[in-house]
Amino acid sequence: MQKPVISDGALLKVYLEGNESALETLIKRHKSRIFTSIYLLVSDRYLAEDIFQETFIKIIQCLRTGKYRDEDKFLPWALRIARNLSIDSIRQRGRMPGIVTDSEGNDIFAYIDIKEDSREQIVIEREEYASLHRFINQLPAEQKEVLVLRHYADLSFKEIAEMTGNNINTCIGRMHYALINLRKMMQKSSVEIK
Amino acid sequence: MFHVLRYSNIEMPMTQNTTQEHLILLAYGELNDEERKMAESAMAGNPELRNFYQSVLQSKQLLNTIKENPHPTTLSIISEHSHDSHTEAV
Repeated sequence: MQKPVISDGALLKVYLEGNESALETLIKRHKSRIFTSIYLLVSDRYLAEDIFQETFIKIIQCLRTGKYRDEDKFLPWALRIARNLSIDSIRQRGRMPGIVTDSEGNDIFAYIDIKEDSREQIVIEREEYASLHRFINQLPAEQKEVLVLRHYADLSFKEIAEMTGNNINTCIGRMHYALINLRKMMQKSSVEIK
Repeated sequence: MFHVLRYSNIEMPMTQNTTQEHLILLAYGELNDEERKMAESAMAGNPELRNFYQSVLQSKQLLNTIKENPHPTTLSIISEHSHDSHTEAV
């Protein structure tokens, strides 16, 4: 029998009652969506780690001081904080990142679980992975933002429109162009589309 | 026939371009039953739209290969912060 899934709202309530593990469950549930979104927005792993950390420190502060009340919308709220921190960071650096970087030039695949054990296959997958990262980063900033928030953060277009202050049709249109542009880039560089 | 799809109270006429946008909504599960049926019916009689929809699904599949996670140290720092802020509050 499947265990019933405890809602985010219920976890937040239990957390505020002093159960620390409730926050761990929340983080475990949403960390990939939040971190992938931050990483793709700022294109730097170490910076993404800092922003992820800062996002949750802010979340904890808001929870502890009773500033957050909309228990059923934890993820969009958390993503809004993460997005704002990412944008602030990009502004501070004075540009939108163009390529995927690792602050110390380390292998960006250190945290990726690659299932294939064939060396050649791993090389191909790494190249494709890096290409895809690069293509996403080459998209115009507004297209990239909608793509990341819709695909990786899993926000609805309505939520993205509310978050970014744009019309919903503008957001859908940007997603449309993002997908078309990605496709063109993939076709141009012969990345395998399965 | 001129179809109009309603999405979140915004009317989008089903011209060639907007239909592609509806197919993106379909691919991301954002159409209701009526809108979904209309989009599927539009695709049935239009190979171009079918191809576009397939290309969106393929792109989605490819995008799914990117999945990143924070380093365990980052998670430990957050847990420590949470624990400390709880202790302070008590």
